[in-house]
Amino acid sequence: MSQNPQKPKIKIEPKLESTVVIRQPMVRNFSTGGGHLPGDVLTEGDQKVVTKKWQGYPPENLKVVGKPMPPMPEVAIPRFLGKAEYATRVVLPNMLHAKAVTNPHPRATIKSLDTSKAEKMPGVAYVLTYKNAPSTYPLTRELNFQGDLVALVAADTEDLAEDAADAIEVEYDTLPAASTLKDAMSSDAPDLRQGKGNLVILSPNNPHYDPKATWVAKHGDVEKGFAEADIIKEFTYYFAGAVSVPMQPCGSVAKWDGDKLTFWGMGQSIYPSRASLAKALGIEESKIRFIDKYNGCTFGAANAAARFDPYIATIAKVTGRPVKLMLPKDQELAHITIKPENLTKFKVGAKKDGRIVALTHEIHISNGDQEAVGHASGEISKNQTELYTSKVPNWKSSWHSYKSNAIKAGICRSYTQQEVKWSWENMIDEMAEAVGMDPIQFRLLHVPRPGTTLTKDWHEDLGKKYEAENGVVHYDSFASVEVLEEGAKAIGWDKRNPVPGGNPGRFKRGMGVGMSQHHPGHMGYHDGEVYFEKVTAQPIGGGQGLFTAEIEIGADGYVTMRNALPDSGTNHDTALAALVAEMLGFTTRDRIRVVWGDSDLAPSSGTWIAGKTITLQGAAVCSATNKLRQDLLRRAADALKVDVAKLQMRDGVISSTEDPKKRTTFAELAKANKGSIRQTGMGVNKDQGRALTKGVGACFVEVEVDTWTGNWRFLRGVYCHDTGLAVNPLVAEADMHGSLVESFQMATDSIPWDREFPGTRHYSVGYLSYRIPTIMDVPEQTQVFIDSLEPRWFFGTKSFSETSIGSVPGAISNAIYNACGVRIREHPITREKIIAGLRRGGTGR
Amino acid sequence: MRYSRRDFLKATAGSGLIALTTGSDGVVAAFAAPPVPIPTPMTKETATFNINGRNYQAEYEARTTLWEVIAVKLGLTGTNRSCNRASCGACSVLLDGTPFYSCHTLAMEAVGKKIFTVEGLGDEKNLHPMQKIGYLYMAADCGFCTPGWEVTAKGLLDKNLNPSVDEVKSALAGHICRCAAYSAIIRTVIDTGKVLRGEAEL
Ligand code: FES
Ligand code: FES
Repeated sequence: MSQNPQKPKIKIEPKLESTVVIRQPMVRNFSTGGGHLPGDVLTEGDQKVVTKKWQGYPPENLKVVGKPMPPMPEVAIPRFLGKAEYATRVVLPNMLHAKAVTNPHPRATIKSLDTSKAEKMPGVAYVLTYKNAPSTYPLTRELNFQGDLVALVAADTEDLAEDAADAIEVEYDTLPAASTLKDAMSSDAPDLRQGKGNLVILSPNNPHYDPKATWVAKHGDVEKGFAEADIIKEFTYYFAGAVSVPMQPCGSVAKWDGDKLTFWGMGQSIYPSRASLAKALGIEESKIRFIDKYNGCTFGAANAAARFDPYIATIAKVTGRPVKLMLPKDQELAHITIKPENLTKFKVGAKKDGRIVALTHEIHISNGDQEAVGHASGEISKNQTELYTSKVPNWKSSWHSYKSNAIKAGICRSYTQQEVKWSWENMIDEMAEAVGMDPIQFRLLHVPRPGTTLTKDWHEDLGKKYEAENGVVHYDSFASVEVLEEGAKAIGWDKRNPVPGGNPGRFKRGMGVGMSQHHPGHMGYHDGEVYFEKVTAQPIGGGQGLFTAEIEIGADGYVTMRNALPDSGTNHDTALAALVAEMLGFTTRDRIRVVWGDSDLAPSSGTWIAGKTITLQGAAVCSATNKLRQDLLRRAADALKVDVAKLQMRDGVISSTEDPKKRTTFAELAKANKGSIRQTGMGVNKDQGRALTKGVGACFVEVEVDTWTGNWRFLRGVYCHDTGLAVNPLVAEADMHGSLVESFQMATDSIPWDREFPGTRHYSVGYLSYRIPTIMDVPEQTQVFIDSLEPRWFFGTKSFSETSIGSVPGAISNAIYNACGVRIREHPITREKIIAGLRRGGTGR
Repeated sequence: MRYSRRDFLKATAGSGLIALTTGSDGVVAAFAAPPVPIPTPMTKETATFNINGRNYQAEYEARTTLWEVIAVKLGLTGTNRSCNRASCGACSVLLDGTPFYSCHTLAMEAVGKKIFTVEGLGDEKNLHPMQKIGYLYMAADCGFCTPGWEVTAKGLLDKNLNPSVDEVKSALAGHICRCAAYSAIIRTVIDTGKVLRGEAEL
């Protein structure tokens, strides 16, 4: 076949495309007193034992962890064959197809509803409305956002269901609405909270209570701080929201056999999803088999489309036929959570040397149709505040969440990241200029570094009360300096044009930087740790919860890892399998198999969120594997009559270090134990996770602005991550490519409102109106992984997949400013705003 | 306000068989054409669909899409449907070697043509080099867009075994990958060409 037999053939192998991995030295000056050895005890502030360093598994002599490897074949290969089992792929005999009728108005009540025509149409099996929805999970006549659910029709085909949906006659009484942030904040906004006002307010005994804000935190004395400042600046920024648009249509399939329900869902959990479905249907959880092995993206957002699940199950029950729903993109968009619109004001006071001495931060958020205070409460809301003000003596941050007739704010390709950091990163850049400093130097002056301490009040605000019962908490593994310095090197920051817009010519290039840190930032605890017991002694809920994993050695010597969590393209089991292989002394990953995504096949576990799977499900997996390792060693010691300390484990063989002839295998030990040996481990995630284990990231971009047209191009990106030890750089690189592209898009696209009815209707045609980056749009990018070695976790790993994600939109805005002197304070970045700014001769919106 | 395939069909049928009268001024011809009766949507027909070299019988209506025939009626579920609005490419299949969005191709348009879907590419025991390389290069994160671009890339490689990066990009420009695995997708297609040309091996 080959035309050129002499030429040696190229070997196709997995390789990193554009990633630089920078190893941190094993020994560095952590706050805990310098270098650490395997198994060292790590203590914090009050000298209480927190954990063992590396959890006993040091990042040394690694054979599997840290190597670029393709994902688990049983998970990834079906994707290339068209055989990955997304709920949308489930086709069952005699199956009904559901279509929804949704509210066309931002706010309305159903005046009248007539389904009689629809019910008589060909192929129609059932119509569900507020009149016959289950009492355990009602539908109401009150519709609070455009796209709110009015009716579901199930028929033999999608077309017939759509015909019938069109034949349902609904009359609406439209009500005054507030869909946009501006409307929701306005003094004559309609009352959406029965007289309580649209601003959500905490109960007065909450330490963050404020009568005029949703949540307030402060430190020091802001007035005093401003009095001491040499330079005082005020800034206002606006972020217009963003949506995630998962690829797979949200939806589900339900099938009953007697009183047993098999449910194929879409989301980020098996057991919590099953529990809410069971609750809504008023049945026992054990009656449901919940399957969700693959999702075509979820971005956290798709979880919210589970709203439809109980109705689909109900229709399947009543009709005695399987039912499937695949939401069209417009109806899906109305239900999955989005990045909310927000308006942010800063007042910042600095000394001549650049140090910020006083800062106020005020943010207003359109919360959508909910009263939860998600964005405003808890540690996450202080995330970027902490990044820049942990050294600032006086600051105040106040959050204002308004109920509105918009799509719900919530998780959307990270939580509180791009939307909140847009303003922070623009502000830091503007402030750097105001004090006459380079943006990198200005950031270096303010970000915490290993050894930086946070006092007790900070710590309690962060909700990590356990580890700071009596003292302060230190940053340990936190590569803030490295992400900035290595990123600057990789992009060539020294060649950056020093004067905004200073380059000659029509096409002007510029560079910008943004930073962010991992929003939840805490890892959980695994069973066997002191705080695991403390945390699990209290109720755990809110989609967080308890994670369980089961690791089993079979008579064939293979290891089966059972993790319930669905895969959304996360390929988390790939990383977890590498940890298992390493802990059990394998030199490859080939002996590890994974079973996942099915409540019948894997033990109960929580919801994976926030890029924390490696330390949550990972806590369970590592704990189970550690137990299994000890168990195997004990069994081998008994069988071989050798002391455990004198045994070694390599590729499924356990042998004596002194006499290699004394050996047994995993397979033999399993056979001797009726064919298998298994262990279970647990992890917990509740607000009070481990202290300050978050990673930090930076994004550097180079752009080119056409000063005649306002068009601009993203030329290059350098995306730097404080990764801890990256378990599998190949998967990590792929994930970070997607993270950069999607965050880049979030800089330029807001919530897709309908041009005809701005602020009341979102676009209804999906990808056409929300222009998702295609293969033509991808910028050249380099990933920089700083292997910062988290001392508290197995092999020095940490969660990092949503560490740098928030930095991108701000970095782009800063680069555009550097290129052409136009500061865009009002998101999204558009050519119209650039050209308008250029006409005004530079800075401005 | 609402867009639906039935409106699309009505428009096509009602505007005087655009397909027959189109030239460069198809639109004008469409307006000028006398109104023709809209075919009743419930008319059913059965035809043979040639998919990956095998013949299948399926019943369809005038408005039934090719995707519905393939993925629902015939149970060849490999072809994903995402946007259902002819804008993402997830549902792509080849018709006589040319990629089409099956969500907006009517079943009747595919009768008599050779249909190629992801199932024709390879299976567990016999992976097509593109599937193997895609796996090794992480050209799929979630995998929902994967069957669509694979089929289009197969169509490209059938015509051009040595495409340039720009040729791969323009061939795949009609495919959205929300996970943005684009650079791995490009390398996969280029290197599949190398393997098929005998210059590289797996
Ligand atoms: S599903 Fe057909 S193009 Fe998107
Ligand atoms: S791999 Fe997820 S959409 Fe392409």
